[in-house]
Amino acid sequence: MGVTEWLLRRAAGHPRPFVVSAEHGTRARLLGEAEIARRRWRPAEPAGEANLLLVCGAPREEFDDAIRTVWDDMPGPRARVDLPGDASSGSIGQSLDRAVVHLADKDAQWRDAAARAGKPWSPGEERHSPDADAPRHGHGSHATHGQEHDEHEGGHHEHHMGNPGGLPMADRGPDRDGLSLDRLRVPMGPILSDWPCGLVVESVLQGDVIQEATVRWMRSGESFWSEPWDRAAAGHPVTRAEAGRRRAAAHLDSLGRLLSVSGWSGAARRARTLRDRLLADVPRDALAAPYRSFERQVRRSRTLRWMLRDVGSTEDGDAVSRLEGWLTWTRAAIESLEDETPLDGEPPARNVLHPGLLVGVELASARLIIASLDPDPAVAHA
Amino acid sequence: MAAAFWILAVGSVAAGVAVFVVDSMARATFALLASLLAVGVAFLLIDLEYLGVLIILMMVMEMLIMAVFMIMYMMNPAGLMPMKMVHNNRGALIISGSVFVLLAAGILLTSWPRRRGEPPADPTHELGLAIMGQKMLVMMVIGVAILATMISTVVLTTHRGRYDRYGEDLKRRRPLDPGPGSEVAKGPVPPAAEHHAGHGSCGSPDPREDSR
Amino acid sequence: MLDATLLALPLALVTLGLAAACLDAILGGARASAPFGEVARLLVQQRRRTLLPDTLLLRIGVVSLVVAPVLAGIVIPLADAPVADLAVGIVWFNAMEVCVWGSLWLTGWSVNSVYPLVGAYRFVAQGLAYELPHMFALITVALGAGSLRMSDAVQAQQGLWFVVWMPLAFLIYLVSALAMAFWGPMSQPVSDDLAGGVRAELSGPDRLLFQAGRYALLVVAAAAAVPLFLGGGAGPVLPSWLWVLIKTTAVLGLLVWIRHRVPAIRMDRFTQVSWLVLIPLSLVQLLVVGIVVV
Repeated sequence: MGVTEWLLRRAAGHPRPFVVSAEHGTRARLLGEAEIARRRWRPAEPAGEANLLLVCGAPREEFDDAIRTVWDDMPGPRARVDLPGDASSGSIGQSLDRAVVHLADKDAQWRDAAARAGKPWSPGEERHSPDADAPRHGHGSHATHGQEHDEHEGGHHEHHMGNPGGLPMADRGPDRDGLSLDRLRVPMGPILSDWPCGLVVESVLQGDVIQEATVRWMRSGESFWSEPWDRAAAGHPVTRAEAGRRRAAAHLDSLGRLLSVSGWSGAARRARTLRDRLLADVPRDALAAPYRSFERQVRRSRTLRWMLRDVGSTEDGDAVSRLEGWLTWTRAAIESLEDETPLDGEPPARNVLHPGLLVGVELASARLIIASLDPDPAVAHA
Repeated sequence: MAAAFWILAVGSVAAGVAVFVVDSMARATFALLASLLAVGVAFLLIDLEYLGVLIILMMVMEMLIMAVFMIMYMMNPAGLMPMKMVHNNRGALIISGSVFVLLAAGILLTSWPRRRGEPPADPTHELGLAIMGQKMLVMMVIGVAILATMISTVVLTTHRGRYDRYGEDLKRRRPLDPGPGSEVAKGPVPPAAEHHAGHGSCGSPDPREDSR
Repeated sequence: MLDATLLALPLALVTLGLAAACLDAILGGARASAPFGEVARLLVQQRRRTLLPDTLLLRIGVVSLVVAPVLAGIVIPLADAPVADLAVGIVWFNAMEVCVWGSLWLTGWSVNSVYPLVGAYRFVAQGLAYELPHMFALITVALGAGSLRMSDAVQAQQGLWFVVWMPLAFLIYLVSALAMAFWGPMSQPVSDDLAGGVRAELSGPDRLLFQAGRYALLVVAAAAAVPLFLGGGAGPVLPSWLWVLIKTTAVLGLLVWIRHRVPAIRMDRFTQVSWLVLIPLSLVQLLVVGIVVV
């Protein structure tokens, strides 16, 4: 008894948070991430490692089902924090403290575990909406890999081989090398780490190569990043400094995501720290030098260039050119942090994710393409 | 020593039988690995340390590669479907039984030489000299040549050549490969009827069906 | 002193593994006590079960990931002598770390889930890419030492450490150490872009064993660099076990630091470099060493 409690308390001191950003949740997400970094917790990058779920904003129904799936699949001891979109830094801190207390509360966790006991998932039951399943828990897919269709033995090979465990076996189809391999339907998203929250890419995988992809969104566009321009268009006085600050933070957010998906956790952390400092209204002098050294480090990295070259090539360039574009724009935005002239002009356009870019590409490259575009539904709905 | 040998021998045979008994192809591959590892450990018992450890090393790598192909080509790779995965049971049992009897008879009836003198201080070294003798350098060169041949064979089997990758006049700086998923690289796909490499190792979906 | 080294090996693995985890936490911006909190968390965490897993293979996979590095470590000289000074120590080390291929593939396969399976196959591809240069690097050491015994390799470095006149082999060994422990730039099999890859569906005690095995593998890979390239326990004032510890810690620190410094390397691009650049380089190094020795 004492041992479990002691372990629980030690564990509660180091929770692994996972942040989900829903409708209008960006502001709360950014404040939440800053608070987590300030407490020096280690974010659980894959949701499977997490024991603290932070939901920011007000999710719509479909997205709420997806969040509930992630929450249901989280092994105990666990805690959930729901933050409204306009949460303040102080209230976020208090919610996190309450979550830590909940994590250390043995009786509450036992009750939680007892409530979930004896209800294993089976494909027959209607679990909210099945296509909102985060593929992370993998119930919706069978791990049969490729199979060859023997042409000679014709007749008695059926395509639908029955339903072990209640799930149909994967169907077969031709692949790019002329083999006939299994086709697995895997919805990527809506909740993955370093992923545009609410994005679902319904893909058909053969092995780990995407053969077909459709893109849909479970939330509508985010107006947080274009807020200065919207306010200026509505007639309020907005300076270029404010807009520059918001723009630099947006690009650093995207950069953090891209660098994290590329596996460079050190640089991603630097980007996110700079973003948090920008949003905390740190003056330009304190930011220019750290940003410049960060930019130098990223630009000089030959390994990053090697990995990102020709990934997601469009007429405008590939992932490397998008990365460099973000870096350049951020530098310009940071330079303009003291510019008090009034703002005019259009907000920076977000990239659009064309599903065709993902076809024929393997999973790692697909993640990099999406991270290098960092799409947002606001553009899609425009 | 004798006890260890018999444990390994029985284990090896049992694992070999398991290869054909289990439904899951993954389990079959690893049962085969267990059988071969038992053989490798048996080598350690007769002081052939180098060969024994080498067998362990090679077999793990090879069985992993075989696992990839087993999962790719065999039906029912996870054993989730109730499927008969073997063909021609009676014929196979008769053939394998008779081969086993033949080999066992050969082993038991041969007059094996008795050990004369002491085992050498470095059995690996002595074994190498005995097998390769004065031709050690030739053997090493041939080893590298075999590696080069294997790599070249793999390169030759791809149906994209230099001109596909580097352009008509071989001037392109970086080769165009299917990796990035570009449309160009999705070259001509051979018709599906070409890959009739099915060697009858697919399982029969109907458990009642007699094997032909 | 068989007994002392027999106890010292697991103790060293656990201590150095925790130290590596703490360093990794600090470099990652968390507190140094984070690994202890993580161990506590995993000890009380519920175990996750997926639909129709292959439980036998899963247990074999996870447990072998812990056992393989311990077995690989028995041939590494801790002070002057290893736990078992096999005559074919270098090949034994190689064989035991290859068993990790099996562990990862089994773990990824058995949980019946897409992302772990993709991670498992990524590791097989990674294995094929790094194994040949790795083997050539080890053969170079054996050639320089004239023997496959680790303590003979230490003896042969009395005059000059191998890292000085076999620098290519040392670099290739470091790259393959990262790859064999699927750490840092080579962590695609367990990377976050696959929701954790091979360990995505593991939780509780399974995940704890998996992480422990991974760190043990990293420690053993770093520790093996010492007798192979860095002269073993040789050094001026301090006793040999302390030198071994210092050198192992240095290599381990380097490997942990690299994780935060270099982006992840994908195998579809790395295989070309590995086979077309690293193998010829290692062969050239082998040739040079062969000429010097003969």
